[in-house]
Amino acid sequence: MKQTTYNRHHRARQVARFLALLMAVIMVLGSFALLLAGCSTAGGGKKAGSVDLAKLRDDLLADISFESEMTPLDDSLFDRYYSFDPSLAVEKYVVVSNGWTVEEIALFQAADEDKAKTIEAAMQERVEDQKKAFEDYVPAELTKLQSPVIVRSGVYVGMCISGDDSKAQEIMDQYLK
Amino acid sequence: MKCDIDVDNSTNPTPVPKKNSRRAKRRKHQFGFLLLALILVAVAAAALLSSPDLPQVLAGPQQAYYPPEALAASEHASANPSGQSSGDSKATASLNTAEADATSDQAETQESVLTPAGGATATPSPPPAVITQAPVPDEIAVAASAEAEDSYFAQSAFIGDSRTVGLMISGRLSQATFLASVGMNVSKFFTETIDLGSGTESTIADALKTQPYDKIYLAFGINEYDWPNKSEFIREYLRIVQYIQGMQPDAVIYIQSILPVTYTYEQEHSGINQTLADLNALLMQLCQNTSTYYLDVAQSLSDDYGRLPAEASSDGVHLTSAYLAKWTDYLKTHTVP
Repeated sequence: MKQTTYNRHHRARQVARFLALLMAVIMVLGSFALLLAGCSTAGGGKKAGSVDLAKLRDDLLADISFESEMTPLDDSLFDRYYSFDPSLAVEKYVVVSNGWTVEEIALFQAADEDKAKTIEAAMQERVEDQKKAFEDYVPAELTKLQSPVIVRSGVYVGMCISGDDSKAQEIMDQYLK
Repeated sequence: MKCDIDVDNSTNPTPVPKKNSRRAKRRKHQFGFLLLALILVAVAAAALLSSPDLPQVLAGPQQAYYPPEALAASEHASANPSGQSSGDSKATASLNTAEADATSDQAETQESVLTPAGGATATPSPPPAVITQAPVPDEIAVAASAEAEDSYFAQSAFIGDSRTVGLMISGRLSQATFLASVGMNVSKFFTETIDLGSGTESTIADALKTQPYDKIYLAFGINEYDWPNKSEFIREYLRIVQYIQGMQPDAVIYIQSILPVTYTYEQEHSGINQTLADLNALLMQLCQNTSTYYLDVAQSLSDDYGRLPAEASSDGVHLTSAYLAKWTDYLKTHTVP
């Protein structure tokens, strides 16, 4: 009897130890899985194979000090700002100054890489147009147009005109490079 | 049975069986292992929570798209009752003239963007002089009316300078046609081309030939306030009105009063608000002489002193989205039947 009781207790202890070990292994494996999931989505919101342009826009607006209030550009006004057919882009975010500075954010996902090059050329053209518009209006704004941040990576093209080119470059590189 | 005897513990001489000691050690190891697993889970959870994919509360000002410096400057302005910028103030809205003036000796300065005492109509200290404004004659005034629908502006043209560009960008009158550009003034109306979209460029004068409008809103003056000869401004404005009346005979023409600037901007451009008020008086005479209507937008957006409230503009001249909304509301509620 005593031996049977001892065996039962022994067996129970073995089961308890096994369950505790199993739980510990599950928790360790689970924590590694969580860590890997966190790392895969870190680095500026760049998921595998895609760029979160909306997040990039938000980060630029939050981390760069724009002088003027920035407003999303209505689609009806797009052709006043950019000379290309908006259908070249499958996704776009354009945020502009309320009119008195050259500050601007323009982010596009083109349909393909050739169209991305077209969009990039249109951005360069936009910069030149703004230089002409502001050289007699507010010449001080021309400093922001000297080296605007324009980044193209695959089908993604982004431009940020601001007074903080280095910060803009840093943020754009996090997402697009 | 061998026992480990705690010979030093005279208060508890009870021997500890060696088997129990091994069990205790095993339990200690298991506990330690579990504790380590818990710590790893906590670290992983913290890493995941700090991942950018999860919603985060952003630090800093949350007013959508408003430059953070403006809020920082307001705190600075609160400590600087004179309302004038100081050399160590953080960058806020750069002070930019509406039109580059080659004879001006003003340099770019940093300025606070909110009134020193804060608030929508807070009084700066000491109180500034009230801007003298002429009353609007009844025959040209537009009385308040029921709010017009967006479609009311479908055949309307808004003509003007960068302030009108701001109105265009706000998107609140999306059905209207905007013939405006930064730096536009009454003398460039006939000569300087503007981008009309789709690669088309034209002067405003030529653009008015392309389609009929039933309402035309004019807004000039901020780029001309420092012209040495004020009558030249009125002469050019009259020329524009007469041109439009010839080109668009069925259109109702509204001349909008020139919006004032903020008190802070005025400190760097002495007398500008009174000058703008004086030009508005001349515009009222123009309306009387040409049978056009005078829309007193300036009065509707001004504070009690006849100036643009500090929170209405980040540079002292151009309106924030909130005040562009007020401007739009005024236009919608002051229409001629």
